[in-house]
Amino acid sequence: MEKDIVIKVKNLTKLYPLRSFKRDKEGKEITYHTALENINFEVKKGESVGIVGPNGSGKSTLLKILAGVSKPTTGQVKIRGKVASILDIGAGFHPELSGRENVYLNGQIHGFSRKEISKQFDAIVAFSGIEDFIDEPVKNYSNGMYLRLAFSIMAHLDFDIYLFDEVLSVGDAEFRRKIRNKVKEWKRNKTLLTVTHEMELIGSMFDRVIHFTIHDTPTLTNDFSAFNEIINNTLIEYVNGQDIQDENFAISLDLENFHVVINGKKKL
Amino acid sequence: MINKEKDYHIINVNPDSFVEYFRKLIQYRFLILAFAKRDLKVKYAQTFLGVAWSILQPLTGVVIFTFFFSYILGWTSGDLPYSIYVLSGLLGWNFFSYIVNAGSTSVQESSHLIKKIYFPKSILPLSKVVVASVELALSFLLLIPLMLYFGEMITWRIVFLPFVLLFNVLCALTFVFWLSAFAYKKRDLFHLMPFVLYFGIWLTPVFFDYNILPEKLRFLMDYNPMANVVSLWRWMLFDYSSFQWIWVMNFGIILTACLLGMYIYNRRESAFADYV
Repeated sequence: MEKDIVIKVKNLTKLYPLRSFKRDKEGKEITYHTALENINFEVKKGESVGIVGPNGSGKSTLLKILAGVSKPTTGQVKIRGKVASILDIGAGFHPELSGRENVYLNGQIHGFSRKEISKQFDAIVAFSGIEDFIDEPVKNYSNGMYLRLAFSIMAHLDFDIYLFDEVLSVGDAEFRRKIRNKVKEWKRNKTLLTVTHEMELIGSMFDRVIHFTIHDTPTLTNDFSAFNEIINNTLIEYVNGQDIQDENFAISLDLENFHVVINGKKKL
Repeated sequence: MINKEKDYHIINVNPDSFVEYFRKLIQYRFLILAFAKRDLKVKYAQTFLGVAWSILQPLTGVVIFTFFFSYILGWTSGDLPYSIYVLSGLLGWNFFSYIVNAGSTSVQESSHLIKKIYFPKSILPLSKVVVASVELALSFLLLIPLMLYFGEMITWRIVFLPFVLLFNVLCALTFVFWLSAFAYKKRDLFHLMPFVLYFGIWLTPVFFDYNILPEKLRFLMDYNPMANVVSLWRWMLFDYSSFQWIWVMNFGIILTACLLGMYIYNRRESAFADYV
Protein backbone atom coordinates (compact mmCIF):
# COMPACT_ATOMS: atom_id res chain seq x y z
CA MET A 1 0.00 0.00 0.00
CA GLU A 2 1.22 3.42 -0.88
CA LYS A 3 2.76 5.50 1.83
CA ASP A 4 0.64 8.16 3.52
CA ILE A 5 -2.67 6.89 2.25
CA VAL A 6 -5.05 6.91 5.19
CA ILE A 7 -8.31 6.05 3.46
CA LYS A 8 -8.61 3.65 0.57
CA VAL A 9 -12.09 2.97 -0.74
CA LYS A 10 -12.40 0.12 -3.19
CA ASN A 11 -15.48 -0.91 -5.20
CA LEU A 12 -17.73 0.31 -2.44
CA THR A 13 -21.42 -0.44 -2.89
CA LYS A 14 -24.24 0.03 -0.44
CA LEU A 15 -27.77 -1.21 -0.98
CA TYR A 16 -30.67 -0.48 1.32
CA PRO A 17 -33.61 -2.87 1.30
CA LEU A 18 -36.87 -1.17 0.36
CA ARG A 19 -39.95 -1.77 2.43
CA SER A 20 -42.18 -1.63 -0.65
CA PHE A 21 -41.06 -2.96 -4.02
CA LYS A 22 -40.64 -0.66 -6.96
CA ARG A 23 -40.54 -1.54 -10.64
CA ASP A 24 -37.98 -0.37 -13.14
CA LYS A 25 -38.69 0.55 -16.78
CA GLU A 26 -38.83 -3.06 -17.88
CA GLY A 27 -41.20 -3.92 -15.08
CA LYS A 28 -38.60 -5.82 -13.12
CA GLU A 29 -38.95 -5.69 -9.37
CA ILE A 30 -36.48 -3.52 -7.51
CA THR A 31 -36.15 -4.52 -3.89
CA TYR A 32 -33.10 -2.45 -3.08
CA HIS A 33 -32.16 1.18 -3.20
CA THR A 34 -28.63 1.66 -4.45
CA ALA A 35 -27.14 4.36 -2.29
CA LEU A 36 -23.57 3.87 -3.45
CA GLU A 37 -22.34 1.99 -6.48
CA ASN A 38 -18.77 1.01 -7.06
CA ILE A 39 -17.06 3.94 -5.41
CA ASN A 40 -13.28 4.12 -5.59
CA PHE A 41 -10.98 6.76 -4.17
CA GLU A 42 -8.01 7.31 -1.93
CA VAL A 43 -7.24 10.04 0.55
CA LYS A 44 -3.75 10.92 1.71
CA LYS A 45 -2.78 12.07 5.15
CA GLY A 46 -3.35 15.79 5.66
CA GLU A 47 -5.72 16.19 2.75
CA SER A 48 -9.01 18.01 2.98
CA VAL A 49 -11.60 16.49 0.71
CA GLY A 50 -15.01 17.97 0.03
CA ILE A 51 -17.95 15.79 -0.87
CA VAL A 52 -20.65 17.59 -2.80
CA GLY A 53 -23.80 16.64 -4.65
CA PRO A 54 -27.57 16.83 -4.34
CA ASN A 55 -29.57 15.31 -1.50
CA GLY A 56 -29.98 11.58 -1.81
CA SER A 57 -26.84 11.07 -3.86
CA GLY A 58 -25.11 8.98 -1.21
CA LYS A 59 -22.80 11.47 0.48
CA SER A 60 -23.94 10.74 3.99
CA THR A 61 -24.04 7.01 3.34
CA LEU A 62 -20.39 7.18 2.38
CA LEU A 63 -19.51 8.97 5.61
CA LYS A 64 -21.54 6.48 7.64
CA ILE A 65 -19.56 3.62 6.15
CA LEU A 66 -16.25 5.38 6.77
CA ALA A 67 -17.36 6.02 10.35
CA GLY A 68 -18.10 2.32 10.84
CA VAL A 69 -21.74 3.02 11.63
CA SER A 70 -23.08 1.18 8.60
CA LYS A 71 -21.56 -1.79 6.78
CA PRO A 72 -21.00 -1.76 3.02
CA THR A 73 -22.86 -4.32 0.93
CA THR A 74 -19.80 -5.10 -1.16
CA GLY A 75 -16.34 -3.66 -1.51
CA GLN A 76 -14.11 -2.49 1.24
CA VAL A 77 -12.61 0.47 3.04
CA LYS A 78 -9.14 0.52 4.51
CA ILE A 79 -8.72 3.26 7.05
CA ARG A 80 -5.87 4.19 9.36
CA GLY A 81 -6.05 6.29 12.51
CA LYS A 82 -8.68 7.41 14.94
CA VAL A 83 -11.83 8.54 13.21
CA ALA A 84 -14.04 11.36 14.50
CA SER A 85 -17.48 10.86 13.07
CA ILE A 86 -19.21 14.21 13.35
CA LEU A 87 -22.24 13.19 11.35
CA ASP A 88 -24.45 15.15 13.68
CA ILE A 89 -23.09 17.72 16.04
CA GLY A 90 -24.01 16.91 19.61
CA ALA A 91 -25.06 13.32 18.95
CA GLY A 92 -24.78 11.59 22.29
CA PHE A 93 -25.53 14.67 24.32
CA HIS A 94 -28.08 14.03 27.00
CA PRO A 95 -30.30 17.04 27.74
CA GLU A 96 -30.65 16.23 31.46
CA LEU A 97 -26.91 16.05 32.08
CA SER A 98 -24.72 19.06 32.74
CA GLY A 99 -22.28 20.42 30.20
CA ARG A 100 -19.43 18.94 32.21
CA GLU A 101 -21.02 15.49 32.34
CA ASN A 102 -21.76 15.63 28.63
CA VAL A 103 -18.17 16.49 27.79
CA TYR A 104 -17.05 13.30 29.50
CA LEU A 105 -19.87 11.17 28.15
CA ASN A 106 -19.33 12.39 24.61
CA GLY A 107 -15.60 11.86 24.75
CA GLN A 108 -16.11 8.36 26.08
CA ILE A 109 -18.60 7.50 23.35
CA HIS A 110 -15.88 8.47 20.89
CA GLY A 111 -13.55 6.02 22.57
CA PHE A 112 -11.49 8.24 24.85
CA SER A 113 -10.81 7.55 28.51
CA ARG A 114 -11.82 9.96 31.28
CA LYS A 115 -8.14 10.66 31.83
CA GLU A 116 -7.59 11.76 28.24
CA ILE A 117 -10.69 13.95 28.40
CA SER A 118 -9.63 15.50 31.72
CA LYS A 119 -6.39 16.67 30.14
CA GLN A 120 -8.30 18.64 27.52
CA PHE A 121 -11.24 19.65 29.67
CA ASP A 122 -10.18 23.22 30.38
CA ALA A 123 -9.30 23.84 26.75
CA ILE A 124 -12.67 22.46 25.65
CA VAL A 125 -14.57 24.74 28.00
CA ALA A 126 -12.46 27.77 27.09
CA PHE A 127 -12.95 27.27 23.35
CA SER A 128 -16.69 26.85 23.77
CA GLY A 129 -16.87 30.00 25.87
CA ILE A 130 -19.51 28.72 28.30
CA GLU A 131 -17.47 28.53 31.50
CA ASP A 132 -20.28 30.00 33.56
CA PHE A 133 -22.82 27.41 32.51
CA ILE A 134 -20.73 24.26 32.39
CA ASP A 135 -22.53 22.73 35.39
CA GLU A 136 -26.01 23.53 34.08
CA PRO A 137 -28.03 20.84 32.29
CA VAL A 138 -27.58 21.24 28.54
CA LYS A 139 -31.34 21.30 27.99
CA ASN A 140 -31.18 24.85 29.33
CA TYR A 141 -28.48 25.84 26.86
CA SER A 142 -29.25 28.02 23.88
CA ASN A 143 -28.81 26.37 20.50
CA GLY A 144 -25.56 28.22 20.00
CA MET A 145 -24.09 27.19 23.35
CA TYR A 146 -25.01 23.60 22.62
CA LEU A 147 -23.28 23.63 19.25
CA ARG A 148 -20.21 25.41 20.58
CA LEU A 149 -19.72 22.87 23.33
CA ALA A 150 -20.30 19.91 21.03
CA PHE A 151 -17.86 21.15 18.43
CA SER A 152 -15.33 22.09 21.05
CA ILE A 153 -15.23 18.52 22.36
CA MET A 154 -14.51 17.11 18.93
CA ALA A 155 -11.96 19.80 18.24
CA HIS A 156 -9.83 19.08 21.28
CA LEU A 157 -9.70 15.32 21.34
CA ASP A 158 -6.92 13.69 19.42
CA PHE A 159 -8.41 12.30 16.22
CA ASP A 160 -6.54 11.62 12.98
CA ILE A 161 -9.43 11.70 10.55
CA TYR A 162 -12.45 13.98 10.76
CA LEU A 163 -15.71 13.21 9.00
CA PHE A 164 -18.06 16.18 8.87
CA ASP A 165 -21.59 15.96 7.60
CA GLU A 166 -22.73 19.52 6.94
CA VAL A 167 -21.76 20.55 10.44
CA LEU A 168 -19.30 23.24 9.40
CA SER A 169 -22.21 25.50 8.65
CA VAL A 170 -23.76 25.59 12.10
CA GLY A 171 -23.87 28.43 14.56
CA ASP A 172 -23.54 32.16 14.09
CA ALA A 173 -21.00 33.95 11.91
CA GLU A 174 -18.58 34.32 14.79
CA PHE A 175 -18.64 30.64 15.61
CA ARG A 176 -18.37 29.62 11.97
CA ARG A 177 -15.24 31.70 11.70
CA LYS A 178 -13.89 29.92 14.76
CA ILE A 179 -14.67 26.54 13.25
CA ARG A 180 -13.08 27.41 9.90
CA ASN A 181 -9.95 28.64 11.64
CA LYS A 182 -9.75 25.42 13.58
CA VAL A 183 -10.20 23.43 10.40
CA LYS A 184 -7.42 25.38 8.70
CA GLU A 185 -5.20 24.58 11.65
CA TRP A 186 -5.99 20.89 11.25
CA LYS A 187 -5.13 20.89 7.59
CA ARG A 188 -1.51 20.52 8.55
CA ASN A 189 -1.68 17.10 10.12
CA LYS A 190 -5.26 15.87 10.12
CA THR A 191 -7.28 14.39 7.34
CA LEU A 192 -10.68 15.90 6.68
CA LEU A 193 -13.68 14.66 4.74
CA THR A 194 -16.51 17.14 4.58
CA VAL A 195 -19.98 16.78 3.13
CA THR A 196 -21.28 20.20 2.26
CA HIS A 197 -23.79 22.06 0.16
CA GLU A 198 -21.89 25.28 0.48
CA MET A 199 -20.06 25.66 -2.76
CA GLU A 200 -18.04 28.57 -1.47
CA LEU A 201 -16.12 26.11 0.66
CA ILE A 202 -14.79 24.37 -2.43
CA GLY A 203 -12.29 27.07 -3.07
CA SER A 204 -11.28 27.90 0.45
CA MET A 205 -11.21 24.65 2.31
CA PHE A 206 -10.72 21.64 0.10
CA ASP A 207 -7.79 20.20 -1.76
CA ARG A 208 -10.07 17.95 -3.72
CA VAL A 209 -13.76 17.46 -4.24
CA ILE A 210 -15.71 14.28 -4.78
CA HIS A 211 -18.88 15.02 -6.63
CA PHE A 212 -21.93 12.80 -6.37
CA THR A 213 -24.80 12.96 -8.83
CA ILE A 214 -28.06 11.12 -9.11
CA HIS A 215 -28.51 8.99 -12.22
CA ASP A 216 -31.00 6.16 -12.25
CA THR A 217 -29.02 5.07 -9.31
CA PRO A 218 -26.69 7.49 -7.58
CA THR A 219 -23.08 6.95 -8.47
CA LEU A 220 -19.82 8.73 -8.25
CA THR A 221 -19.85 10.79 -11.38
CA ASN A 222 -17.52 10.68 -14.31
CA ASP A 223 -19.53 13.39 -15.94
CA PHE A 224 -17.51 16.50 -15.38
CA SER A 225 -19.77 18.91 -17.19
CA ALA A 226 -22.10 18.95 -14.23
CA PHE A 227 -19.15 19.58 -12.04
CA ASN A 228 -17.91 22.41 -14.21
CA GLU A 229 -21.26 24.04 -13.83
CA ILE A 230 -20.95 23.89 -10.10
CA ILE A 231 -17.49 25.35 -10.25
CA ASN A 232 -18.71 28.20 -12.42
CA ASN A 233 -21.52 28.88 -10.02
CA THR A 234 -19.06 28.70 -7.23
CA LEU A 235 -16.87 31.21 -8.90
CA ILE A 236 -19.76 33.62 -9.04
CA GLU A 237 -20.68 33.06 -5.43
CA TYR A 238 -17.11 33.28 -4.46
CA VAL A 239 -16.56 36.58 -6.14
CA ASN A 240 -19.89 37.85 -4.93
CA GLY A 241 -18.83 36.90 -1.47
CA GLN A 242 -15.91 39.29 -1.95
CA ASP A 243 -13.45 36.90 -0.47
CA ILE A 244 -11.29 37.44 -3.51
CA GLN A 245 -10.59 40.88 -4.88
CA ASP A 246 -8.17 39.63 -7.49
CA GLU A 247 -9.45 40.35 -10.98
CA ASN A 248 -7.33 37.65 -12.44
CA PHE A 249 -8.95 35.12 -10.22
CA ALA A 250 -9.35 31.92 -12.20
CA ILE A 251 -10.83 28.63 -11.30
CA SER A 252 -10.63 25.46 -13.32
CA LEU A 253 -10.68 21.76 -12.97
CA ASP A 254 -7.85 19.34 -13.11
CA LEU A 255 -9.94 16.53 -14.56
CA GLU A 256 -7.31 13.88 -14.30
CA ASN A 257 -6.65 14.30 -10.62
CA PHE A 258 -10.05 15.57 -9.68
CA HIS A 259 -8.48 18.74 -8.33
CA VAL A 260 -9.95 22.13 -8.19
CA VAL A 261 -7.38 24.55 -9.47
CA ILE A 262 -7.66 28.10 -8.36
CA ASN A 263 -5.29 30.73 -9.66
CA GLY A 264 -3.10 27.99 -11.05
CA LYS A 265 -2.44 26.60 -7.60
CA LYS A 266 -3.84 23.32 -6.50
CA LYS A 267 -5.12 24.59 -3.22
CA LEU A 268 -5.62 27.85 -1.51
CA MET B 1 7.72 5.71 8.53
CA ILE B 2 6.51 2.80 6.51
CA ASN B 3 2.87 1.93 6.84
CA LYS B 4 2.17 -1.64 7.54
CA GLU B 5 -0.89 -3.36 6.21
CA LYS B 6 -1.98 -4.21 9.73
CA ASP B 7 -2.21 -0.53 10.72
CA TYR B 8 -5.28 -0.31 8.57
CA HIS B 9 -8.70 -1.03 9.88
CA ILE B 10 -10.68 -2.87 7.25
CA ILE B 11 -14.38 -2.22 6.82
CA ASN B 12 -16.26 -4.65 4.63
CA VAL B 13 -19.44 -6.65 4.75
CA ASN B 14 -18.03 -9.23 7.15
CA PRO B 15 -18.71 -8.79 10.85
CA ASP B 16 -15.82 -8.77 13.30
CA SER B 17 -14.58 -12.13 14.46
CA PHE B 18 -15.67 -13.07 17.97
CA VAL B 19 -12.13 -12.55 19.25
CA GLU B 20 -11.91 -9.13 17.61
CA TYR B 21 -15.31 -8.30 19.02
CA PHE B 22 -14.21 -9.10 22.58
CA ARG B 23 -11.11 -7.02 22.05
CA LYS B 24 -13.31 -4.07 21.07
CA LEU B 25 -15.61 -4.68 24.03
CA ILE B 26 -12.61 -4.50 26.36
CA GLN B 27 -11.40 -1.36 24.61
CA TYR B 28 -14.81 0.26 25.10
CA ARG B 29 -15.45 -1.18 28.59
CA PHE B 30 -15.48 2.25 30.26
CA LEU B 31 -18.41 3.17 28.06
CA ILE B 32 -20.50 0.53 29.87
CA LEU B 33 -20.07 2.49 33.09
CA ALA B 34 -20.45 5.83 31.36
CA PHE B 35 -23.86 4.85 29.95
CA ALA B 36 -24.92 3.35 33.28
CA LYS B 37 -23.92 6.51 35.09
CA ARG B 38 -25.83 8.58 32.57
CA ASP B 39 -28.95 6.45 33.05
CA LEU B 40 -28.78 6.71 36.83
CA LYS B 41 -28.16 10.43 36.83
CA VAL B 42 -30.99 11.02 34.41
CA LYS B 43 -33.31 8.76 36.37
CA TYR B 44 -32.94 10.74 39.56
CA ALA B 45 -32.57 14.16 37.94
CA GLN B 46 -34.88 16.77 39.43
CA THR B 47 -36.19 14.51 42.18
CA PHE B 48 -36.20 15.37 45.85
CA LEU B 49 -36.15 11.81 47.18
CA GLY B 50 -33.63 10.59 44.61
CA VAL B 51 -32.59 6.97 45.11
CA ALA B 52 -35.21 6.59 47.83
CA TRP B 53 -37.71 6.04 45.01
CA SER B 54 -35.91 2.86 44.11
CA ILE B 55 -36.35 1.54 47.66
CA LEU B 56 -39.95 2.66 47.85
CA GLN B 57 -40.92 0.57 44.84
CA PRO B 58 -40.00 -2.88 46.26
CA LEU B 59 -41.26 -1.72 49.66
CA THR B 60 -44.78 -1.09 48.35
CA GLY B 61 -44.55 -4.44 46.54
CA VAL B 62 -43.69 -6.27 49.74
CA VAL B 63 -46.47 -4.57 51.67
CA ILE B 64 -49.13 -5.30 49.03
CA PHE B 65 -48.09 -8.89 48.35
CA THR B 66 -47.76 -9.70 52.04
CA PHE B 67 -51.20 -8.29 52.70
CA PHE B 68 -52.94 -10.15 49.87
CA PHE B 69 -51.08 -13.43 49.63
CA SER B 70 -50.14 -14.00 53.23
CA TYR B 71 -52.82 -12.18 55.24
CA ILE B 72 -55.84 -12.61 52.95
CA LEU B 73 -55.04 -15.84 51.09
CA GLY B 74 -53.02 -17.39 53.87
CA TRP B 75 -50.10 -18.60 51.72
CA THR B 76 -47.23 -19.87 53.83
CA SER B 77 -43.52 -19.98 53.20
CA GLY B 78 -42.02 -22.54 55.56
CA ASP B 79 -40.01 -21.10 58.43
CA LEU B 80 -39.44 -17.82 56.63
CA PRO B 81 -41.67 -14.78 57.29
CA TYR B 82 -43.66 -14.20 54.11
CA SER B 83 -42.47 -10.60 53.68
CA ILE B 84 -38.87 -11.79 53.59
CA TYR B 85 -39.83 -14.66 51.32
CA VAL B 86 -41.48 -12.42 48.76
CA LEU B 87 -38.77 -9.75 48.91
CA SER B 88 -36.01 -12.29 48.37
CA GLY B 89 -37.98 -13.59 45.40
CA LEU B 90 -38.43 -10.12 43.98
CA LEU B 91 -34.69 -9.43 44.23
CA GLY B 92 -33.82 -11.93 41.54
CA TRP B 93 -36.94 -11.43 39.47
CA ASN B 94 -36.79 -7.63 39.36
CA PHE B 95 -33.10 -7.80 38.52
CA PHE B 96 -33.95 -10.14 35.65
CA SER B 97 -36.92 -8.20 34.37
CA TYR B 98 -35.14 -4.85 34.53
CA ILE B 99 -32.28 -6.14 32.36
CA VAL B 100 -34.67 -7.82 29.91
CA ASN B 101 -36.86 -4.74 29.61
CA ALA B 102 -34.18 -2.09 29.46
CA GLY B 103 -31.71 -4.28 27.56
CA SER B 104 -33.98 -5.24 24.71
CA THR B 105 -35.15 -1.68 24.17
CA SER B 106 -31.68 -0.20 24.59
CA VAL B 107 -30.80 -0.30 20.89
CA GLN B 108 -34.03 1.50 19.98
CA GLU B 109 -33.49 3.96 22.79
CA SER B 110 -30.05 4.88 21.46
CA SER B 111 -31.00 4.88 17.79
CA HIS B 112 -29.92 8.51 17.37
CA LEU B 113 -26.51 7.54 18.65
CA ILE B 114 -25.84 4.31 16.79
CA LYS B 115 -26.72 6.00 13.51
CA LYS B 116 -23.98 8.55 14.06
CA ILE B 117 -21.15 6.99 16.03
CA TYR B 118 -19.65 3.52 16.08
CA PHE B 119 -19.27 1.51 19.26
CA PRO B 120 -19.92 -2.19 19.96
CA LYS B 121 -23.69 -2.44 20.41
CA SER B 122 -23.60 -4.97 23.24
CA ILE B 123 -22.28 -2.09 25.35
CA LEU B 124 -25.91 -0.94 25.52
CA PRO B 125 -27.51 -3.98 27.22
CA LEU B 126 -24.37 -4.49 29.33
CA SER B 127 -24.71 -0.98 30.71
CA LYS B 128 -28.28 -1.86 31.73
CA VAL B 129 -26.85 -4.71 33.81
CA VAL B 130 -24.90 -2.13 35.80
CA VAL B 131 -27.99 0.01 36.33
CA ALA B 132 -29.97 -3.06 37.42
CA SER B 133 -27.19 -3.98 39.86
CA VAL B 134 -27.52 -0.61 41.54
CA GLU B 135 -31.26 -1.15 41.91
CA LEU B 136 -30.55 -4.60 43.31
CA ALA B 137 -28.13 -3.20 45.85
CA LEU B 138 -30.80 -0.71 46.92
CA SER B 139 -33.24 -3.58 47.48
CA PHE B 140 -30.76 -5.01 49.94
CA LEU B 141 -31.13 -1.82 51.97
CA LEU B 142 -34.69 -2.99 52.44
CA LEU B 143 -33.97 -6.66 52.98
CA ILE B 144 -31.31 -6.24 55.66
CA PRO B 145 -33.46 -4.26 58.15
CA LEU B 146 -36.30 -6.69 57.50
CA MET B 147 -34.01 -9.63 58.28
CA LEU B 148 -32.76 -7.96 61.45
CA TYR B 149 -36.34 -7.34 62.52
CA PHE B 150 -37.30 -10.99 62.08
CA GLY B 151 -33.99 -12.23 63.44
CA GLU B 152 -32.92 -14.01 60.24
CA MET B 153 -29.20 -14.47 59.84
CA ILE B 154 -27.42 -14.50 56.48
CA THR B 155 -25.73 -17.86 56.00
CA TRP B 156 -22.10 -18.48 55.02
CA ARG B 157 -23.43 -19.35 51.58
CA ILE B 158 -23.34 -15.63 50.76
CA VAL B 159 -19.89 -16.43 49.33
CA PHE B 160 -21.80 -17.83 46.35
CA LEU B 161 -23.23 -14.37 45.63
CA PRO B 162 -21.09 -13.73 42.53
CA PHE B 163 -22.16 -17.04 41.06
CA VAL B 164 -25.86 -16.39 41.75
CA LEU B 165 -25.57 -12.89 40.29
CA LEU B 166 -23.87 -14.28 37.22
CA PHE B 167 -26.58 -16.89 36.72
CA ASN B 168 -29.22 -14.19 37.14
CA VAL B 169 -27.52 -11.86 34.65
CA LEU B 170 -26.95 -14.64 32.13
CA CYS B 171 -30.65 -15.57 32.17
CA ALA B 172 -31.54 -11.98 31.34
CA LEU B 173 -28.81 -11.40 28.76
CA THR B 174 -29.62 -14.64 26.94
CA PHE B 175 -33.09 -13.25 26.49
CA VAL B 176 -31.85 -9.83 25.38
CA PHE B 177 -29.26 -11.06 22.89
CA TRP B 178 -31.52 -13.57 21.20
CA LEU B 179 -34.43 -11.17 21.10
CA SER B 180 -32.38 -8.25 19.74
CA ALA B 181 -30.62 -10.40 17.17
CA PHE B 182 -33.88 -11.68 15.72
CA ALA B 183 -36.25 -8.77 16.20
CA TYR B 184 -34.34 -5.83 14.75
CA LYS B 185 -36.02 -6.11 11.34
CA LYS B 186 -39.47 -7.29 12.34
CA ARG B 187 -40.24 -6.06 15.79
CA ASP B 188 -43.02 -8.48 16.71
CA LEU B 189 -40.84 -10.30 19.19
CA PHE B 190 -40.44 -7.12 21.20
CA HIS B 191 -44.18 -7.07 21.66
CA LEU B 192 -44.02 -10.58 23.01
CA MET B 193 -41.62 -9.61 25.75
CA PRO B 194 -44.11 -8.02 28.19
CA PHE B 195 -46.19 -11.23 28.00
CA VAL B 196 -43.20 -13.35 28.86
CA LEU B 197 -42.39 -11.18 31.86
CA TYR B 198 -46.02 -10.98 32.89
CA PHE B 199 -46.59 -14.72 32.83
CA GLY B 200 -43.04 -15.66 33.72
CA ILE B 201 -43.35 -14.37 37.27
CA TRP B 202 -46.12 -16.92 37.86
CA LEU B 203 -43.96 -19.76 36.54
CA THR B 204 -41.31 -18.74 39.05
CA PRO B 205 -41.65 -19.16 42.81
CA VAL B 206 -41.59 -15.43 43.56
CA PHE B 207 -44.86 -15.15 45.46
CA PHE B 208 -45.58 -18.80 46.31
CA ASP B 209 -43.61 -21.63 47.75
CA TYR B 210 -43.36 -24.34 45.18
CA ASN B 211 -44.79 -26.81 47.72
CA ILE B 212 -48.22 -25.36 47.01
CA LEU B 213 -47.96 -26.67 43.45
CA PRO B 214 -49.45 -30.10 42.69
CA GLU B 215 -46.76 -32.80 42.69
CA LYS B 216 -46.94 -33.35 38.93
CA LEU B 217 -46.31 -29.67 38.11
CA ARG B 218 -43.27 -29.21 40.32
CA PHE B 219 -40.92 -30.34 37.57
CA LEU B 220 -41.67 -26.99 35.88
CA MET B 221 -39.66 -25.31 38.59
CA ASP B 222 -36.66 -27.47 37.73
CA TYR B 223 -36.62 -26.60 34.07
CA ASN B 224 -37.25 -22.88 34.37
CA PRO B 225 -33.83 -21.27 34.83
CA MET B 226 -35.32 -18.22 36.54
CA ALA B 227 -37.06 -20.52 39.07
CA ASN B 228 -33.60 -21.97 39.69
CA VAL B 229 -32.17 -18.52 40.20
CA VAL B 230 -34.89 -17.44 42.63
CA SER B 231 -34.47 -20.69 44.58
CA LEU B 232 -30.73 -20.15 44.56
CA TRP B 233 -31.14 -16.69 46.09
CA ARG B 234 -33.16 -18.16 48.95
CA TRP B 235 -30.83 -21.11 49.33
CA MET B 236 -27.89 -18.72 49.54
CA LEU B 237 -29.49 -16.19 51.89
CA PHE B 238 -31.53 -18.38 54.23
CA ASP B 239 -30.75 -22.03 53.38
CA TYR B 240 -34.45 -22.15 52.48
CA SER B 241 -34.44 -25.24 50.24
CA SER B 242 -31.89 -27.92 49.49
CA PHE B 243 -29.33 -27.46 46.75
CA GLN B 244 -30.28 -29.06 43.42
CA TRP B 245 -27.67 -30.29 40.98
CA ILE B 246 -30.03 -29.48 38.14
CA TRP B 247 -29.29 -25.81 38.88
CA VAL B 248 -25.70 -26.34 37.89
CA MET B 249 -26.75 -28.14 34.74
CA ASN B 250 -29.13 -25.33 33.80
CA PHE B 251 -26.40 -22.81 34.49
CA GLY B 252 -24.25 -24.59 31.91
CA ILE B 253 -27.09 -24.51 29.38
CA ILE B 254 -27.79 -20.82 30.00
CA LEU B 255 -24.10 -19.94 29.77
CA THR B 256 -23.87 -21.67 26.40
CA ALA B 257 -27.11 -20.08 25.18
CA CYS B 258 -25.92 -16.64 26.26
CA LEU B 259 -22.56 -16.92 24.50
CA LEU B 260 -24.28 -18.23 21.38
CA GLY B 261 -26.79 -15.38 21.58
CA MET B 262 -23.97 -12.90 21.93
CA TYR B 263 -22.24 -14.43 18.92
CA ILE B 264 -25.36 -14.04 16.76
CA TYR B 265 -25.90 -10.53 18.12
CA ASN B 266 -22.35 -9.66 17.14
CA ARG B 267 -22.86 -11.06 13.62
CA ARG B 268 -25.96 -8.93 13.15
CA GLU B 269 -25.37 -5.75 15.12
CA SER B 270 -23.73 -3.92 12.22
CA ALA B 271 -27.13 -3.93 10.51
CA PHE B 272 -28.89 -2.39 13.53
CA ALA B 273 -28.05 1.15 12.42
CA ASP B 274 -29.78 0.53 9.08
CA TYR B 275 -33.00 -0.65 10.69
CA VAL B 276 -33.60 1.26 13.92
